[in-house]
Amino acid sequence: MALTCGRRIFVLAKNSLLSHPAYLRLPGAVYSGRASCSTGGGQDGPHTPEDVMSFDAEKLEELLKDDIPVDMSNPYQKEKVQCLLCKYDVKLDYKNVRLLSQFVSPYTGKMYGRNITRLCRKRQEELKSTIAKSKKAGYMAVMLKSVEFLKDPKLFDPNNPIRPHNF
Amino acid sequence: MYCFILPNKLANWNTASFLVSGTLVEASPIEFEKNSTVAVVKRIAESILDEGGFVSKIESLGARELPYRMRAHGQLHSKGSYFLLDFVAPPIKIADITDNFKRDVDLIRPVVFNKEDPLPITCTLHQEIKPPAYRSEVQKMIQEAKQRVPISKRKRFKLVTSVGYNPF
Repeated sequence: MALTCGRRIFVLAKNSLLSHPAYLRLPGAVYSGRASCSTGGGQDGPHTPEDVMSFDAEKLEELLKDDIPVDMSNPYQKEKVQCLLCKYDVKLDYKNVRLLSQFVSPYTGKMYGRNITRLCRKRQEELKSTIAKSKKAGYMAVMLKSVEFLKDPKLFDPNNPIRPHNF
Repeated sequence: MYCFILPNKLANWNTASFLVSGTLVEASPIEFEKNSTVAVVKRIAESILDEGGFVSKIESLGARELPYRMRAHGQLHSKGSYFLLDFVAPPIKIADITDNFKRDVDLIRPVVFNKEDPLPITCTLHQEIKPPAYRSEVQKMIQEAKQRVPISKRKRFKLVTSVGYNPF
């Protein structure tokens, strides 16, 4: 006889321990010549392998319709921290002295470092070259920050750097 | 009024547009005589055209006190007018054009910039913020340091015993 479910059949010996009534919960399933599948002890009794194997493809699809995974990017992905200029996509222009002056110290007129401005490396380099360009072209003051820009909103706190600074 | 048809030869030129910035007029008070500044700007544009260039835009950024006193042609200037000239010219002639600007007495700070769109930058701050051991730059440095160790030491056989010492 073909044992499709793969479980082993054991024939109880008459005087064995397992012949005790406590063990004989599913007498029908145990004594049957066929291997018992997990569906053997159900309400309708043991199923034939053919019943278990057959399924309706359309019915299955309908059941899984709401359960199929949706194509989307990882919703639990953490938002990457972006520097101020990258976040708002700010374009640095050598003519825009007011914006450049926001990154300059009001005490020394020098540009703040990355530990204070909290910009990414590339943006800091861009800022550095733009400020140099502006100063050379005669738009921006060199030794100081223009008086009209002293009361501009602060983009960062110079007294709270990541690393100590001299200015 | 200049009007000319560009010959086909121009197709070989590098059509990079250059920005002439800060062509400041000499010490004229804020209430300047319009004619003199106009004459200077015209002269500059003509010099570009003479070299074989093409001026596409002339912009005035106004007259104001300079951010710092500038010395030009033996004179110290504290006030001036800012002008911008967008032009296209053959690359060989750019040096000549700049030279001409520098010789012009009325120009305080002539500067020529190449007008290029900045390269797109993706922010790498989230990587730079990481603790040093996790930063790719620091990891590279560690790798380099390992490379600097002499081969004799690097390739030395490392005995792996669970007891922590060589039992033999």
